Amino acid sequence: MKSLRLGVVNTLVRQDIYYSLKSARGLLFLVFFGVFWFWVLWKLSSGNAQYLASPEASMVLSFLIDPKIAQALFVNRAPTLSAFFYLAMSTVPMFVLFAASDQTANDIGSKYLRFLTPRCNRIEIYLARFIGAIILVAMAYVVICLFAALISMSVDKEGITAVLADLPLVVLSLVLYTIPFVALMSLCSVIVGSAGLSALMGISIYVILLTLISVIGIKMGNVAEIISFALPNATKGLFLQLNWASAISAMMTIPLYVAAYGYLGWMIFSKRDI
Amino acid sequence: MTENIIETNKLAKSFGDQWALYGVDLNLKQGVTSGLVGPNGAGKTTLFSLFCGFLKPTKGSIKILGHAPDHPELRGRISILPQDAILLKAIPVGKQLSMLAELQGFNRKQSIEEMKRVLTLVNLYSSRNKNAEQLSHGMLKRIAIAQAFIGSPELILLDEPTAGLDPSTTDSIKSVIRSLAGKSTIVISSHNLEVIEDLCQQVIILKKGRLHAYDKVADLTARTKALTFRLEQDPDTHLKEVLSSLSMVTDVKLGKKGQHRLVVHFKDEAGQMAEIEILKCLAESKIPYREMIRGERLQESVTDRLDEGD
Repeated sequence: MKSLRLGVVNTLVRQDIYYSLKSARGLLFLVFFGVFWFWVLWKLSSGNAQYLASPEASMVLSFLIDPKIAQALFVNRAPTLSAFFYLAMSTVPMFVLFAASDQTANDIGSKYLRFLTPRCNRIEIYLARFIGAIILVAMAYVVICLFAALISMSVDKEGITAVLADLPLVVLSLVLYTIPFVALMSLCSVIVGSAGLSALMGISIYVILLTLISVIGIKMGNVAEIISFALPNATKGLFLQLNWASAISAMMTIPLYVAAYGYLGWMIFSKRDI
Repeated sequence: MTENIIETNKLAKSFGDQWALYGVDLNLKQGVTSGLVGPNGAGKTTLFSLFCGFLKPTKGSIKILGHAPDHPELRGRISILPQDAILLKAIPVGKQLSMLAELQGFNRKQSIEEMKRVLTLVNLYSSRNKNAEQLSHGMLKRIAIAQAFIGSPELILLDEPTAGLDPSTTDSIKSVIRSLAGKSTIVISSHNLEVIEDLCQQVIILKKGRLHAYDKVADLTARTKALTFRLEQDPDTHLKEVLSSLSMVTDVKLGKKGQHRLVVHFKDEAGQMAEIEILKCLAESKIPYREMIRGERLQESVTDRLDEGD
């Protein structure tokens, strides 16, 4: 297919990651992300999470979160890694909506795309920016997962084997869970002409849908459940069970979100004036 | 070399209720350097952006090298100097040009060589390691021009290539464009009609979003049959009558108020005698002039064309 040259996509992805690591926008995300996780991991390194594995804590956690998830995460598992995983999954929207907000937005505003379009097809630019954003976010999460695993190995009594057994699924779940959010931001960033506006739009869509679901859920639980599938976090419950069977079920739905958000974004980007 | 490189058919573009361009039918021949001129709001940048595929037509169609402007076949075959696109801020300009060259199919080593070549063309190789923020407006313009010269494009579209450049840089850019003229088809959009006159063989005149005229520059400039004067003050109609009474004079045009311009056309066969008679007539009428140019400049003829129908 002449309109999608993989070599060009590869070059664009490489250039996008290079720019992300050089630009204020990319650095700001990495600094914000790094500082937040440095603080969290520093707290976890004192062994505070071990309390969560106790029967009393399990009781309390069952009230706060889904009892099935509480049991899956904190019974017979390294609690520090589990606590990190739960926190990481819960903060994904905050970080990813920000990190992936500028896939095409700023380049539309500054008209930089006008330097690219004589050389690349729009589909190549759109796809490369999506892949570039996934790689940036994934790299950040892989690094932070490795630090969390090292801390868990040193403070949890379950030992290195338990941590190493869970680590691949933790990393994979986190990385895959971010993908629908990145796809949502692909859609937002083709509509507006700045990364700030794109982030604001993504956050607004997310918050409005969450509020809508909560309000509708009071009277019509089934309708709220159906609407909740529009949110990119619909797979969270499955990933949090931290077992391969649930994770595979979650993985199966990710292409649907990518296709839905991605296609809508592409329809706009392919036709819009740049 | 007579194949059409750009063809438009009833091309129109609207922004909301406003038609920026309407019913434009054009055929630009391969190998011919064309200028796109017109007053502000005439639709030059819109037409240019439609050629480049930045904007999508509201009505009508465009074919560039036989394809729609967004067609994959065109990648690397056309190059563009966009008027208001901004380079990335955080990456040195040399690196940005080599990145663009890579996207055009050069490997990493070749892309660096190509970056060196095009930066040397615009005399900015020494600034290759500077970020866009560290360069002046004129330098950024030259970098943007350099990116349009990457590779061997068949069609080069330059939107205001000399705007914001000093006269010496303008001359060097003109000389680069002139050197490419035989190898590529070039379309230049500019308010600077001296540049169009110097570089182009044909001129497209747009007015209020419509194609007003499409002529050969040579036909518009009439180098041998006219004298153009810039006077100390605006000429009066009496002067027109006096000059018109000369037997070899065929037409006298007075500029608009404030232009201090006078153009006198004469019979081709009258030659130097006509010029002497016209100068004598001006001296006798005690009309001093600041500048005299043999022929009619594009500036004047385009202004006249644009005034037609007002």
